[in-house]
Amino acid sequence: MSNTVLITVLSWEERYILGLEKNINAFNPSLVILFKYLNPLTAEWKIGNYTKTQSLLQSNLIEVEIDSSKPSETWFIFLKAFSNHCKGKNILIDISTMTREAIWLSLYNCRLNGCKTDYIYYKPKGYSGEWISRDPGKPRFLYKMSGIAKLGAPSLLLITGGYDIQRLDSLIYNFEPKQTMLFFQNGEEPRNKENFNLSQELLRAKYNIGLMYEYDAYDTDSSFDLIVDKLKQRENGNSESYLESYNIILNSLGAKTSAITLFNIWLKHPHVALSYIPSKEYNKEYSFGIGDEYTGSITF
Amino acid sequence: MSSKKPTNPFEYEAAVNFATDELIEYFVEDHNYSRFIQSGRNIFIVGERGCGKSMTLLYNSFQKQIRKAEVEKRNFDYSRIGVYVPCTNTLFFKKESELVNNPFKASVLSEHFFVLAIAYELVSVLSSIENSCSKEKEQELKSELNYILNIDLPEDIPIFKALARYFQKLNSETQNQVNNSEESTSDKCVSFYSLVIPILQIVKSIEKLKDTHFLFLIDDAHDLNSHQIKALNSWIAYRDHSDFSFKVAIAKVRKHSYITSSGSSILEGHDFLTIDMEKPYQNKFSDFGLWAKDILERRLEKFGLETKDANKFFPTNPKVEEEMKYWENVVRNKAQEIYKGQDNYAKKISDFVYKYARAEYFRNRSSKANLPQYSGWDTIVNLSTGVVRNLLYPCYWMYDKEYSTISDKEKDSKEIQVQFIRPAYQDEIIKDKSKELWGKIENDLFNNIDNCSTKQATQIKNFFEQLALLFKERLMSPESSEPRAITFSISARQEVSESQNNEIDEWLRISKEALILYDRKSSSKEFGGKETIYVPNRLLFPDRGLDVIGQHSRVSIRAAEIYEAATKGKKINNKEVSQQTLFDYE
Repeated sequence: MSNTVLITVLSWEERYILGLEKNINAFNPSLVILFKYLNPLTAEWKIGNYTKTQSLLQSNLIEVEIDSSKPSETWFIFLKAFSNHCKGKNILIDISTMTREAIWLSLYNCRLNGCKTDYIYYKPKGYSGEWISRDPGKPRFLYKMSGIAKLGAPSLLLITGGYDIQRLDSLIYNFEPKQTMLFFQNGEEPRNKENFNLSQELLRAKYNIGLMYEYDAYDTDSSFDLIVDKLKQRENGNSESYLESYNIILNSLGAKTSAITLFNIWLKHPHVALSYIPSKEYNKEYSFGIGDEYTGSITF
Repeated sequence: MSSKKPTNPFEYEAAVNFATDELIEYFVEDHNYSRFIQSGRNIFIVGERGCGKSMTLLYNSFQKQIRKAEVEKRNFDYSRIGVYVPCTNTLFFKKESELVNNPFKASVLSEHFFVLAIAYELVSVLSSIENSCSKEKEQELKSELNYILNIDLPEDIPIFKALARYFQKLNSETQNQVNNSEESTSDKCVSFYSLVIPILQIVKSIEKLKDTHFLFLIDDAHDLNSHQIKALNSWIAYRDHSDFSFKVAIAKVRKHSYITSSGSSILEGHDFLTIDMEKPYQNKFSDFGLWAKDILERRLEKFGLETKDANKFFPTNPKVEEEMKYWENVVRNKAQEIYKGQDNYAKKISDFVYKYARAEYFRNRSSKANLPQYSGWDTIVNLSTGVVRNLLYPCYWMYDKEYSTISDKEKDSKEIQVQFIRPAYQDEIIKDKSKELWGKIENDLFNNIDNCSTKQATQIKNFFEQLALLFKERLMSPESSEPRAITFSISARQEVSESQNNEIDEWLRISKEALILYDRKSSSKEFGGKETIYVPNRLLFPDRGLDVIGQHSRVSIRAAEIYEAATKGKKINNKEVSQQTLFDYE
């Protein structure tokens, strides 16, 4: 048995349980911390995967309940779970079906507890083509990852994976940024190309957004370089870069790996803020199977 | 902010994105209460997005007023200085105070950041005042700051620039402390009384500013946390307002608390006045009608268009105008017969025509005809539902369409002049935008509005469908006594359970946040108290063939009918609807 603690969040998706089996075989964790969101709407869907999780892990499992409607309570639960079980350990975070809030809270606590931290992401085998979640709450800043706001400075909202127009609407409506910078998933897939062109047109017309770029969400290093490079550019007529003159709000709407990139940006530039949109309604049939895996390490 | 020439006279950018000169040129002071802002009273400006709250506050800020004085070639009057404080800075989205387990400490931390934002904007304004004091006076003020507030400022930097830097540093230090300490607090917190009031006292020793009253223009105060709102209310309750007052813009949909930090309340009339920026009347003779005309005509003029009259720029379809006149005459003749020989003959005739003439036009259109034609300035003003952004929104798209057509024809012309918007284009845009708004109800509510489930979105859609149907039936029915009543109130709340009432309240909240419903207070005839009148966004009406020009009436709908309409798509029973004439809006 290794010295690795696996962090995961219970989900109804197939890739959750298939990913857990793979992680157990490949990493042989000494302990698995399973965070369970209390959500009556999805509780039943998760029963099957939960039963399998229990039989797979038995005594090596620690279950922690969290409530997305109580962010301050969640903060302290994560703090306690990591300080009790993860201090100085090797941590593997399976971000595949985690919320951004849980990803960032896990990474934050890994840093706090001096953990050697790796992450793993399993793409699903396919998508149903439908929506994944709806009924968003008000966008929020993460506690302690909310940056250092400058007085009198305008806001720049940076979003990775901006195809979700409705969520974009919600972010822009709530944060009222002066500038918005969007990063779209690149690739030769016709779906991505079509989405990129369509979204560009729509966003230009609707919000007059001019700062739109393509990036590879699954390559966190090149994404990091590209995003930081764009933030370090100067705005027309301004002697300072976006990074210097704006209060920057980061938000990840696309692939979960982009949440890793944004966390790395926050680590390097702690005056930027990480934000997320809580959701209350999910689509059970959003994805199926398990596909490619992406792994990486976080250097604090 | 740099000024760029707009490409469309009806740009409806957020107020903060306007260049100073544009904002000064476009702002209309008449026919609203915006001059109240310059008074020494505390004022709450209430209204939904787009009704001009930010524009009003920004217009009264020092930066805009001094530029205005410069443009008008007059000396600036230093007796009033407006300090604009937006609550949309990311500082106000930080939530670490929720991690502090001691409510008092959480309130101190929350007030600290709010006070720093105010102090920073105050000294930014003061640093932009030229020659406010001599070098000697600056040294004297710096000594005072050191003595009273223990703030040690460098000698080689002008006092207010140095103070701005000091606040920036303090702000950064405290955020760092909060982010990196276990307790999430800071030992460097300041308060309004420990920082802003002493600074104001020191500033008042400057000759140029000795009689100045500072107007703190707090925008988007609904984004403040509960501790900050209580702190703000406490400052408003402060008895001596000779040196400063607060003008606070808040969204109507989110209930504002008027409780102070000590638990008491501030009272309207005593501690503050309220200005409702949404206007109940939109006809051409109302304050809003006149204001809207001023806004539009000023934009036409500033844009350099030859046509400066809103009525001429947005002409009514002549055929519709002719038919309207025809039915007005028919109704007038009928009224003359009915009231022949009676007292108040002229008034009775005019009331009858007012009530039924337009309805007759809608009723007598061929059953095979498409939707009615919508055009004309009066229609556009009524479509706005009393909200400035709603007024500019269709105009923007109409202008773009007309301009595109002309520029296609006159490709070589350097100066393309739009003389007017042809009625067919007005009609097309109005119907397109109306359809879009229905689409928003159907597809977007659960995505865009905080705490709106898909179930609630469907219920709201059902209710609006049934409401439109009700209004349509009333418009078309010859038996309707108030056929163009397009607002409603809710009656018999006691007939539904508490949880059903709560559900109805949530639908109303979501609808208001989505700007598809507005509300006004009115005196209730039955009980003499206040009653809420609900006004659907009139842009919804063209898609359903309704008249956007309503009459001073409301339809009273029982809560049970609303509940059934929303949850089961059940028709609202026309027979159970009562009408009350409404000439008593406030």
